[in-house]
Amino acid sequence: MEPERTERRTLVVEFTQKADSRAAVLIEGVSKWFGTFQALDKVSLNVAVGERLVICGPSGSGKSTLIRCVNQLETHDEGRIVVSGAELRPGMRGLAEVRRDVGMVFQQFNLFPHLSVLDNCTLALRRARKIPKDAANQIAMEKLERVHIAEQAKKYPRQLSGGQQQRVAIARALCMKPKIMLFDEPTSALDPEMVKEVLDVMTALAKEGMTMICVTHEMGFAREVADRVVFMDKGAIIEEAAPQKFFGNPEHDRTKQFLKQLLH
Amino acid sequence: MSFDLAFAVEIIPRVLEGIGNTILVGILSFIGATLLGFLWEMLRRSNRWVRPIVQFLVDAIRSTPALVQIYFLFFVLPYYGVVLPAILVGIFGLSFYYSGYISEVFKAGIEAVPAGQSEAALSLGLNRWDTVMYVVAPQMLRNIAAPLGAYSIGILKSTPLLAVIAVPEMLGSAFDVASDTYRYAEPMFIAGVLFLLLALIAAFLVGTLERRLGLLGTSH
Repeated sequence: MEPERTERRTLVVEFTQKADSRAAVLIEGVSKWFGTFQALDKVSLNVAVGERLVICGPSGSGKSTLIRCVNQLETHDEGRIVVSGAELRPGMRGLAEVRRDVGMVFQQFNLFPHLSVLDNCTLALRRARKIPKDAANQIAMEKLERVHIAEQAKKYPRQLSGGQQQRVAIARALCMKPKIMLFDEPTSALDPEMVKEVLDVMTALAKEGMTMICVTHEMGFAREVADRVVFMDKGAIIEEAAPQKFFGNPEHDRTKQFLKQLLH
Repeated sequence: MSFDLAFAVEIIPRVLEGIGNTILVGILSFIGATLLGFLWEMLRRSNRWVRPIVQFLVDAIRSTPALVQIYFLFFVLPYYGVVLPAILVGIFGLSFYYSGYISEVFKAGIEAVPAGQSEAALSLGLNRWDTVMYVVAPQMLRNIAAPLGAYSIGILKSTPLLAVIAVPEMLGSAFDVASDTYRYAEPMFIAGVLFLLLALIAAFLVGTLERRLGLLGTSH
């Protein structure tokens, strides 16, 4: 019993050290409970710099909880999460600094309704990065152009369509020049005809080499863009593979069943 | 002794003598109570060590009669060398008393802003203070306008409490007339009508403010 344990620990340490140098995000044995419900069950996942990861799985499988742990919108109860070399702990100092490096796009956009599109983008630049107004506006306009919505800069979020709002949300996150982007079902709240404009922006971002973790059910996007697809069920990672293998020849019955329902 | 309308009209100017102080005390107490109430709510949210202390303070404020607090400030502060004009003690007393209630208004108003709003702000790397000041508070204003307006009228109606520490205000003026003439019905009636008028004006202003805020954007 004892030797086996030691061996396992050595392996973990090696894995960690190897991973730290190249990893954008390191997740190790992470568990999380909501009351008595276990949302994450010893999840370990490693995302390299520049990697595009897609996480899919049925609702309640813990995929959103997992990426919300990466910027600590949810705290994990067990295990280790390292983002850009900083280990995340509940109530840690410097969490805001880490978050500035991790952009997040939400299912419900979460734009600030009382601010114009431009001010949505510049708020954090000015308050958190202390960049003067003119310079912040310039950065924001640059990012808004990148998501093809610069002409709406003076409007308020409620005046835009869902797809436009989500593109603004992406621009807002990009303004902080994040090293990692998290997407939490970015197209799930959109009307079908608006999904493409958002996916196009995400694809362009991926092609530029952004490190991305996307929770999404857009399998076309996953096939085209992802380096790796992760399938989660009941709080655990069931399968991870390159998209070709994942879609072409999945190993687990649960994955096959899920894909069958999705592609039906 | 029946109600004498002519006499009532005749004493209006004398009762009005106190209205300036009533309005002054009402407005300043409302501002003070709002600032203090906001402070309590911010402290309550700041960290887990401060929260129980401030929660106890707020509960204590709300669980003691306003009169007790006003008497306490008026008679106890001088022991510690703090001698303030009665009107200042009164304004501070009303501010303090109502701050307990208004902190609860802020609490409910903040909780009504969707969680996604502060999540988005925090995920951008804003600290907690900026998240509150620039994202949550502006959206909260709309939620709190109505209850805050109700308290502004409540505070206005509480200004006669300051008669006990001899702050000259409208009820005090009415009492002066009463003790001069031995007639109570008319001065009290006039004081009541004037308070009603002030409350109607306040309600109108609050309504205008609410409509203005209602024009602010909403998400989705």
